[in-house]
Amino acid sequence: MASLLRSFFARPVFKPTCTARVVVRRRNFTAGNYFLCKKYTEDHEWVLLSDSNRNIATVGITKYAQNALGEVVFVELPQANTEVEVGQVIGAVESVKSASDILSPISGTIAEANSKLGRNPKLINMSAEDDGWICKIEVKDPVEIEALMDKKGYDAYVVGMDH
Amino acid sequence: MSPSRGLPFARTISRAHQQQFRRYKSTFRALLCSQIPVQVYISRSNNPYLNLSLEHHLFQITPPEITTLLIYTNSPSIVLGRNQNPWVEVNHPRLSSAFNPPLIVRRRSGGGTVFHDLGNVNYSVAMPTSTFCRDKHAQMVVRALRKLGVVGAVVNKRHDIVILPEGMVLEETKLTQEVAGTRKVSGSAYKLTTRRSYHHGTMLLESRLEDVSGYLRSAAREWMKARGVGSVRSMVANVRVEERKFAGAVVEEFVRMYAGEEGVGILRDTMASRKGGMDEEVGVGVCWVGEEAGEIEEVQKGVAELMSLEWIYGQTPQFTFSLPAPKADDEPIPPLPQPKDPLLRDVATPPVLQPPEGSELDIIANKGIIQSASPPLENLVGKRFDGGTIADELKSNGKSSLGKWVESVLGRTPWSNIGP
Repeated sequence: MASLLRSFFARPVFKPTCTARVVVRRRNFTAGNYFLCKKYTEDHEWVLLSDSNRNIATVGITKYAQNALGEVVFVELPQANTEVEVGQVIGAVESVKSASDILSPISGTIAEANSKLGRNPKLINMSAEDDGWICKIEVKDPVEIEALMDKKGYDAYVVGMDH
Repeated sequence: MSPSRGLPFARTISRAHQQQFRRYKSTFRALLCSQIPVQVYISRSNNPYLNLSLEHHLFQITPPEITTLLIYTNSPSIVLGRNQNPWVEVNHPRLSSAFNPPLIVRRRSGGGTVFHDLGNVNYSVAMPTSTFCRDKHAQMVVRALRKLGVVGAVVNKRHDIVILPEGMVLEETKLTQEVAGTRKVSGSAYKLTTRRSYHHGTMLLESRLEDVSGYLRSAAREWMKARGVGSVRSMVANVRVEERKFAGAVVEEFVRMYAGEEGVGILRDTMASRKGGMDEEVGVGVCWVGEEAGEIEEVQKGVAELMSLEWIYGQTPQFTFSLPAPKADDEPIPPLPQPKDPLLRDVATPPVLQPPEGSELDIIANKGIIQSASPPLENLVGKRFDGGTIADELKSNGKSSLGKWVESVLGRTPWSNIGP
């Protein structure tokens, strides 16, 4: 009887805390600056959600990748409106006789490709994580971005690769 | 009743054939599925599409920590780098007038155009990217060449293997500065991914270099402004070593590098028997593989993709083809001078080619499809870029001589016959 009563009283007390917790987390999830940080993949791509439009993410290759590739002479860009899946080839880079594929870090639809980069592939060497972005993708599932590494995690991953 | 006499005989032949086939197949399949860290594959096929697809398959499916070497020789083919332009690199009119023209192949690695024939041997090393280095395996091949008596072999700053001018010998296998008068005997090209990478090269042994000159270097290149990757022309030479000896020396140097002298001992026994085999203790496996590689589904798909016109022509980066101004009265246009022999030129051509002054009509194509064209050629937009297609459009606009000129520099390609 005592246990029944306890559970009866416990329920209303417990429930609100639980919902409150979820609400707080959700608010952080969308409105906080958590998402405004760059995220990184094991394949050396970065993803950054747009400040103004949370459905659009900019994608590029990392400084580390740029440095490993050497002087970039050509970038093959994706076509706008193409649907892409995680890990799908969305483009290619050529440097010092080497061809490398660019893989999509997230699923979604290509919104725009960096046409400046098409004309001037060296932008990748000059500014891999800024002006040398590859494309913008309309995000299908934000959770995919959440699962990627943050800067600290990526830096540790890169240090691990060099050993 | 003749079948009853004929059949048993036929059956024995086919059984013997099957047994032989199965033996190669099984060593090949067994090695491919094994965890042996040092794997050597020697291809018996001369099909460039099959060999390149097998190469890609080895690189994709072998576990990341394994190092493989594939040796193959292709029948005559012009092999473009992944991001090159066939209308710039290949002389199409010459190709279509040839009695037995070479195949056109676009490989998956970067770099410039090379010519393959039965007089050269290709080596390809797939390795974990963590151990990737652009010169490591070129230097391995240099060591193999030197052991075969080609003492002047060395890797240059462009990661190519060159032969030093006569009388010059170096101890190091890599040049740290430019040396005049070297002749290139093998290039290098790479494919990189996060986990696995490969380095391949073509060693000129007894190539019929004189046959190549007419096919490479398009007459239209001066009228093309192309994105993507150009080819750097170099003085080339044959090393004049027997194919089998070269392949043997490269395989040995590779095994020495990754499995030491013990591995080389096992390798020598295996190579002598020409059967192929594996030693799990030392961690070395060698096998020969022929057309049966094409039975693997992924290899089959790779072959189909490499042979497709969408890959060969439709993968071409954006370029502009500028035509000379059409003469008002459709006056004939003087023919272009034939391109000079590329083998005798030691001039690096810039990847961006400027159209001549006075050109008026521009056609811009991306991925082999015409994106825009100056009037009166607007009808070409959306069509596949091709000399014949453009010539026909010019002719229908009363510009027959300009059309003839276009066809004479670009030629007609199979790309025009299908599609939109």
